[in-house]
Amino acid sequence: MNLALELTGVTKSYGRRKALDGLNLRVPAGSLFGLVGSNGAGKTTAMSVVSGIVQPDGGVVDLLESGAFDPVRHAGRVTVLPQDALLPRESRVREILGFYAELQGVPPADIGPMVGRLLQTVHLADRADSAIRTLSHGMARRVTLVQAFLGDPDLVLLDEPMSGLDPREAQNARHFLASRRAGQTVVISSHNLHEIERMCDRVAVVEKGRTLLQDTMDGITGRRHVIRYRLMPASWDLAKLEARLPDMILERSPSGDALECRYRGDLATVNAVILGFLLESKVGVLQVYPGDELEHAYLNSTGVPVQPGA
Amino acid sequence: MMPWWKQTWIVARHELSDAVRSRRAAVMMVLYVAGAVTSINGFINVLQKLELQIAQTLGVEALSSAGAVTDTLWKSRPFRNMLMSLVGDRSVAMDLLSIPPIALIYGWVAFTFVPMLVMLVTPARVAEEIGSGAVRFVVPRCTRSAWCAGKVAGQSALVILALILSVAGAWTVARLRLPGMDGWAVAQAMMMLAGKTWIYAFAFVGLAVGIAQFHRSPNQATALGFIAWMVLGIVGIMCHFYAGPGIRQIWLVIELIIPQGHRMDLWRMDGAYLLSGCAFLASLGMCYAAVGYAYFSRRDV
Repeated sequence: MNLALELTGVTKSYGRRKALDGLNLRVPAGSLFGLVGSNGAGKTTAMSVVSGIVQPDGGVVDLLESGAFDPVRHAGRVTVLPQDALLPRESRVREILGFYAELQGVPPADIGPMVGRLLQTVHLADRADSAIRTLSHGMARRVTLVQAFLGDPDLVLLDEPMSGLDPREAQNARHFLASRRAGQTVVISSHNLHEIERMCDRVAVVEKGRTLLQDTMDGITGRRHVIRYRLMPASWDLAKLEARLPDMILERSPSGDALECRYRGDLATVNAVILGFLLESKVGVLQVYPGDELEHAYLNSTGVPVQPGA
Repeated sequence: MMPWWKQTWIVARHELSDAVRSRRAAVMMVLYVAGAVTSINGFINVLQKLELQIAQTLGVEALSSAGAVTDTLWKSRPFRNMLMSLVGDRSVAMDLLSIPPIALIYGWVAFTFVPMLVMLVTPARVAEEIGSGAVRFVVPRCTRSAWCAGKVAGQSALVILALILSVAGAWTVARLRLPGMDGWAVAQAMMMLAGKTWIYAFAFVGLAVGIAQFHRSPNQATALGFIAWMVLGIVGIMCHFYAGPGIRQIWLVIELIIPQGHRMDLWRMDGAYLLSGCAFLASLGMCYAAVGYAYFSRRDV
């Protein structure tokens, strides 16, 4: 497996506080990789270390299989959307994006059309000549998102890219990320687990500067061995269902409005048995979805027990 | 792979275009130009009053335009002798006397206030970029040394702009107030002095960029830049008074590493002095910036 990014035992301290405490990450090339964790878990520091903004104290960082970040070697190949960074207030949108593009080696003739196309994508074409200071927070955030895709880099690091975006623009940004070119690797750090779950194909959970788990989204959420149902509240006999599925682990929420089945074998067969039973028992089925929610997997990995239906 | 000089050029170009639009830089440049213009205007007012008094004392009709008496005074032997004894160096005095008086006043104002212009603009701009995080968009795209050099170059270009505007303003006022003035000679002298002022300012730009790289707060960086400028000024005065034989030669060495120590060389017309002054000031500017860069190259931004 080709890796776009590999961190091995990376450490970083701010004074006496350890921000990264032996962080390990393996990001396959071409993946849309989610980095999740609580506040202060080390996500932003990890992003900053990878992009050369912050110097690590120890460990090995390997980008695009060509060593640690080097602005000359990786210029134009690795870009970053830092979390709290502000664009220069007096610059104009088109101008600042042109500056970044030129600096990372985009041919001058391509800069104008590229900036125009990207601004169109985030619905900011009409503000291309506006000064940054005149933009709303969400608009400025979209400009910072665009700058990370200038020059079609191989590895894009996005720290909380959706923060400050309204629902329409957040959805648009998700589509934009989903339509990235094949082979381009995007690492997204976010608190919004629902968003990460919808967008990413791989995910890592980071806590206290360490990697708790990392896997494919299917693997982490158990999409291949868990199926969950949201039900109309009703009284029904779980033992009867367990009798029909003897090798499976079934769990019902105390209020009876959620059912979780840890299965082995064919999902369609298991689902047919469960749905058949629920219909026979006249239990209304509101929703069926494979796997845990990422939020549950995340809470479980951090040691917080989650009740079915929670 | 983009060469270092090209990265520097791109950063410098952007820095200039961005700085020109910043309110702080615009206000400071306007004040600098206004200072030069006001000084020239004030000087001409004084000349006019002086000449009026002389005319009244001599009981002759006052001239309608100022400057005629001064020009005569400038060329008189007693005045030249007096200036030589004041300056203490015949060659410097002769060099000063070769400059039209109005340009000399402009040069004095430009030299005196250019460090203030630099210290009020440059540290804040650089520190603000670090503090706001804007530098994080640039650092992954170019080397930190290119960013630092680009900032020095961009800010130096801003000083050129301020000097050109100040020369234009001062010359225009002089031209309007002194119709008999040799416009071409004064313009040439002013431009030459502006060029020398720029070399002098370069050392301060380097100092300002060097200081700013240690900070995130624009106000803190500006305050420290100001303090540094004042400390260097005081050290310069101490060097002037305390330099002497023996152990006091240390003051001569200290004088070499502060911009004020080379200011006099720039007033001379002798190429050797001029060249040495320019080389020292340019080197000092780069060294000051490099000290800040030594920290910035390893700091977390």
